[in-house]
Amino acid sequence: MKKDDLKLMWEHIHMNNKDMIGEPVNIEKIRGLEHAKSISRFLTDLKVKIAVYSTALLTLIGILIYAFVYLNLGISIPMILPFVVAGLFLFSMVTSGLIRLYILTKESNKFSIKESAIFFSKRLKKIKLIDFVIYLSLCYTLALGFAFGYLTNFDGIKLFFNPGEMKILLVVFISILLIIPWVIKNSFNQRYRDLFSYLDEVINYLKEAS
Amino acid sequence: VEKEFVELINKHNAILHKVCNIYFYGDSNKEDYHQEILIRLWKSFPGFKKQSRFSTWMYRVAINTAIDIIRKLKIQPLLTELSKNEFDMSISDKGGESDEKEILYRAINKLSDGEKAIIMLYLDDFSYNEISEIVGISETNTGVKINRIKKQLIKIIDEYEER
Repeated sequence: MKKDDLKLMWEHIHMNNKDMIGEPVNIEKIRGLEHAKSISRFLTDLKVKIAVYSTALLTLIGILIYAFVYLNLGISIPMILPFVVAGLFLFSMVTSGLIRLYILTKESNKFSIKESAIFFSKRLKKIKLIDFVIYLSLCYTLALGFAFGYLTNFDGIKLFFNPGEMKILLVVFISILLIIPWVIKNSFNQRYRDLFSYLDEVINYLKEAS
Repeated sequence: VEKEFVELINKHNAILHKVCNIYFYGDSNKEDYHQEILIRLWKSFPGFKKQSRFSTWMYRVAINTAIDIIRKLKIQPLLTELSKNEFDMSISDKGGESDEKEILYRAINKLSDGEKAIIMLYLDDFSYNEISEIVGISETNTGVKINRIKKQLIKIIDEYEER
């Protein structure tokens, strides 16, 4: 057989090859299934994680409401901050888990391979933007929380810093606020890099003009 | 519907195996991905309007699902038990095993996922029109790409044989 006759080679290796015929399909085995075992197992793990983080977040919110509304406890803002940080962390875990679940369960079989890759890439860009806005809001809320906490205890701060140092502190704080979007954007680019480069590779190859 | 689906799938069962071998050759989870594609075919079957051949529809769903699984693996690498490097090593460990199937699949495995789809359809005797419909590119572009991929494949096979 000529090695450059690929079609013949392909035909030859698949002819009467038992590996290629396999067992007849058993519809009973797949009828009730949403996914195969490994994918199903992973999705279940992800759902359990989302449920655990959601429960923790709701419990935290419940405790805070109970403390402030029912017990009417007068706790200062700096004392609440650790709870706010914990709440924000749990919230970000829940949202990123939900986003992952959404990406992992999205299907687009009805399209051609190129359209399917473009469709998925567009969806992913939207998800990335939503994810970015959520994280940015959380970071700014947290930063403003800290700022508010310090401002309410301004007299205490004045004891530690002179006016010159206060200006530096303010510049550092504003710089951090300005850097936050850049840091988030870069971390997101890292997070999605592999997936986007894979999608771009498929799309660019199929878009490439002859 | 079930009976029709089972009959058609059993008739075209080789497509499933070919797609799995092309996209997950040497992967320890291949059987699982085979089942995932089968589940996706079953779920998508009500959408098969018989406007094209069943094999054309089956290839489109199967390749889309295989690429979708690869995308999922990019999001969650824990799903995969063998990394690309480990996979390459497992092949070279086999050493003497150099039959046609091994060589051809190893060569195809070196191609990108888009190229894999095109060459698989070409090798399975699909017309340029059908390939362009499944892949989503023009017929002219299909022809050009097939020629390029064939040259690339032959070069890879040559390299394997020289070793």
